[in-house]
Amino acid sequence: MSYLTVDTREVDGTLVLYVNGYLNSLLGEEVERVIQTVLNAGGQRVVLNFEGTKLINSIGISFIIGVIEKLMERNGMMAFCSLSPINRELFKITGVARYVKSFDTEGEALAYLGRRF
Amino acid sequence: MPISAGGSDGTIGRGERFASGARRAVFKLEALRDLTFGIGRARNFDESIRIALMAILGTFSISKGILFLDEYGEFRARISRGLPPGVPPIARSQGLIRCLRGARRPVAVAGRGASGAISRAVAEVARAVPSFAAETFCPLGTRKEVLGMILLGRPLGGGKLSPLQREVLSVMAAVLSAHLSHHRGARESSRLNEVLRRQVEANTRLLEELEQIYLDTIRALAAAIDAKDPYTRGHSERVAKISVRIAEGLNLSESEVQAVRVASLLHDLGKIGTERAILSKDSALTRAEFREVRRHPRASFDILSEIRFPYPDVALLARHHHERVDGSGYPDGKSEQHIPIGARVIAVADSFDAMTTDRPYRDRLPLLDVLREIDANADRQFDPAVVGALFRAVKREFGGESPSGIFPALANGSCRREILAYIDRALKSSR
Repeated sequence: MSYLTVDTREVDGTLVLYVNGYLNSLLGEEVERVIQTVLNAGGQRVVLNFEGTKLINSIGISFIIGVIEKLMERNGMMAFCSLSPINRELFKITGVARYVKSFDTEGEALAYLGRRF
Repeated sequence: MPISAGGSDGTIGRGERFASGARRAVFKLEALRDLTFGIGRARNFDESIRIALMAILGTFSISKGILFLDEYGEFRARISRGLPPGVPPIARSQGLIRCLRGARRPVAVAGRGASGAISRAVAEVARAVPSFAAETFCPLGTRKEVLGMILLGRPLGGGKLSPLQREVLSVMAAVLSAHLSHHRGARESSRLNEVLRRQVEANTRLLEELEQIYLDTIRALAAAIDAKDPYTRGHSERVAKISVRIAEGLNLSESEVQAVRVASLLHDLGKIGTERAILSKDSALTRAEFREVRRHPRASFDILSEIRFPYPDVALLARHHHERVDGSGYPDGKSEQHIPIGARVIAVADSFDAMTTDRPYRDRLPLLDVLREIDANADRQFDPAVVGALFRAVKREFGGESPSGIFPALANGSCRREILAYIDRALKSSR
């Protein structure tokens, strides 16, 4: 059990997960665990809200990619929102942006996923 | 810090391509930092290699990877990512070792750089884990040793790693290898420490056993000497016990005490050459017989000096056990401090035993008389310090301070209270 916890809320069957602080090995593990739990319970839609994210390192990217893979295996969908310019660019250069659409606001991300299902 | 030329609102302006390239380079440098710091801060080895694999996968946007380590004669999958657990080990084939020793750079599994051994190893893994198609083979090792390898899946979006990316991977693998090598060295040295500790324990036990066998052998030899004279049966063994008690009371070192023990057991060894008739004679000895008897300490010395004892001066202690502190003893007429302390101890113990046992020419004496006789000869025949140590040892046993081992059995009519009172007076007046 990690001492770090991530805030989440559910909106019409979509899990919104707030990535607060540093997305490194510790927080990454917790994010992965929470999403795995939702997927195991049959959930398919996830929004990662990066508004409170200070930094994403290479290990954090590794977790994001792991989550993307898991969702693709289950035909799930994911969207990002509230990315800082630096993180938006990070997702671009790591290729993550090609798989997950980013939105300025959480509302837009939720609307997008809602439309798709 | 944003390297991007874009504004803080997220728009990307001119110089985008350059900025993006620079950002990529910075990300890779940061990833190298994540790897190094991650390894350094990990709470244990397993966490350190997991963090290392995660940093590598994140750097190249790869979701699947396995880290194999050379352990117990095979390459074991120590950590994997994006795969079900239970990846089987890869055999440590000669071919694979050769190519891990040779090219220590990452290669594309399907490319020209990959040897047959690499392809076979990858196929072996693919058979066991069908969901994993390794794209990149990354050796782990140093100039001196093969440590393992990493198999990486395809990057997000497919394709192979570019030559530049493989270059970055090889730097990360070198950092990880240094860590693995250090860990292996530390583990090996702690294993060797353990082996050494056990060896020392075993040697100590062996040494103790040998020492016991050695002392038993010397005892047997001493018993053989005593057997020559029915009146001295057990004499050497008793003298040894008394001498050791005195030597310990004088705070001699452990090895000096052992030397006293062995020399006491063997002090009369020279009597082997003395005629039995002389030794058991119950009347006064002739001058010639007396001269014959006085030869035995030197004879003991001659025999014992041929033996390399693990304790100091055993032969000398035997040689001088009939010297007297006033210089009138034999064979060398040495006096006081010129007589080795061990020999002064044996001299007292020898006389003490002679007086407390029956001899051809007289019956044994009561203990009180023996103590008086010895005290009377302190400063002439005996070293007063040694006499004091004997008296204190006798007192401890009679007074119940130490288990009664030797002396109470020798009381021979002297009562305990008298003995204690006498010793107290003697010790006081000598002070």
